[in-house]
Amino acid sequence: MLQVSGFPISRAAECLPGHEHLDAATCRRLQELDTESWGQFYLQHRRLIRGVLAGHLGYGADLEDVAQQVFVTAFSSVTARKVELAGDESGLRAWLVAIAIRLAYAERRRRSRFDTRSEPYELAHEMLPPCDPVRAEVFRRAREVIMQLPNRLQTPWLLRHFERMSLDEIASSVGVSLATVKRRLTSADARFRKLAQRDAVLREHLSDGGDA
Amino acid sequence: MTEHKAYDRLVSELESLHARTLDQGEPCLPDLRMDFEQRLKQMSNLQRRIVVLQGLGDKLKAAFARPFTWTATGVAALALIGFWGWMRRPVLKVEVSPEPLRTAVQVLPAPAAVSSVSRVAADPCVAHIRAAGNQPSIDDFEDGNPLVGSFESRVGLWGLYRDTDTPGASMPLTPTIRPQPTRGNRFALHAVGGELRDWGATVQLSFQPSCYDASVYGGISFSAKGPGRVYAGVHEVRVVQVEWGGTCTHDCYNTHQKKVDLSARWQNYSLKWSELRQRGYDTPPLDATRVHSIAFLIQPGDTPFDIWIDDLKFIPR
Repeated sequence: MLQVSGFPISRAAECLPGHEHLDAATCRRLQELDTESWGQFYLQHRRLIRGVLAGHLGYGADLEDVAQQVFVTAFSSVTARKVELAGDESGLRAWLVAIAIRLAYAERRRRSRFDTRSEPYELAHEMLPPCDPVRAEVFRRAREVIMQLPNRLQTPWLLRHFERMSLDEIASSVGVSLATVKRRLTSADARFRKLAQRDAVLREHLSDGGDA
Repeated sequence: MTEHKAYDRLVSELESLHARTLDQGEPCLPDLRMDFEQRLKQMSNLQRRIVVLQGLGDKLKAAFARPFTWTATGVAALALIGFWGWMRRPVLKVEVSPEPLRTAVQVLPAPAAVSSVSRVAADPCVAHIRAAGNQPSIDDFEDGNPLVGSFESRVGLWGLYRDTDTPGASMPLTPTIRPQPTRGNRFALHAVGGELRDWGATVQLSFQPSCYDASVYGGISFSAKGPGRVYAGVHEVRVVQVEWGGTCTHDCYNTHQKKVDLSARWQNYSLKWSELRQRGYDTPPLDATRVHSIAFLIQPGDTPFDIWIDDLKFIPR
């Protein structure tokens, strides 16, 4: 039986909005499949999971559906007694993010098979915040660059830069060692810079006179 | 500024845009939490049943570990085999004279002159339902099921029919959550499909019984979102094949329809009966007293498709 615990709460995790340490009582209620506690748990971690999924899949209409699927999968693991929850928020976050990553990859494969016309990595127009068109264009192009990164580099990059997760948590979520995460992040940063230099808009923002 | 600083600044800017885009799309949280808890409650019930079944399995396993149970099971199995043999014993055959049978058949009403070549159905509009004209809404999909809204005695089912489906084996089309749901409008019909090469696909509301008198109204209106192109139209009873509740025997599915170009945003469309045309020259106008179904046709050239339809209603004359 996998015990979801064992990671220290990092400073990065403490900085995240809505972060609350799970006490033993809450964990017990979750383990006992108390629906209300799961509803609360869902609200507490929904922002993080949506962020991870949006990074991988875009900000489309079905984002909420996939996010709920992550929690349903987590709930199923607990009901099937595959995991035992312990009062460690950081470990729980890493576990949830690992599920989210797995589902995001599966969703990508599904989209590439069945729905070739949809543009999963494009921002839906309705979801764009009201900001100036230049920033929106920079964001769109940057996302295109991120999507060109291979999965093994892209996921650590997104977790580190978009979700501000600690290196320990990333290592646990991705299922590799801390040293591997550091190496992949360095490699991802270098690859991102190299690809961004090929784009006229991003190149301008990477130069000294950039106004990002 | 060094290149590293510029990179860090760009990444920080991207993170802020990512966060803003996510927060912008935050729908109503209490509603979502209720949806999620409902989903879990359904799962919990299922899980409880699984646990009960697992317990039963464990008890059976424990019972079969005892020799006495094996003996009892053997006796029970032999009894079952014996009972099965008794049930299959040869039965005395009784010859029945054909005369009484012939008499019984003659009591039944004789079918109308049936052609040996083609099937001709009785006119389904003999027992049609007529719209009263006071409830024009056909379906707003908020009930979340593939049945048409039960206004003015309307009964019908939404379905998605594709040229790759086995005839008669279509899927009922259940409404799904809209891309940007609101409190008053959460569901819409969503039809998605890949490339098709024969006649395409159709999202269709088939009335039951298969003849509906909508002549009190002047047309239909709906809101839809693409991008893409559909042909919105109405199947009259006479263009639908006999086996699907119509009266057509040849050159069927010449639907009264109109081309509708959908944009990437929700838009309302209104179609009057007089705007709907069949293909060909000098074709009769739509007879709205004999509506079989309302259809949104997708031509093979417009596939793959991804369309949303909502708030279908009749419009006054």
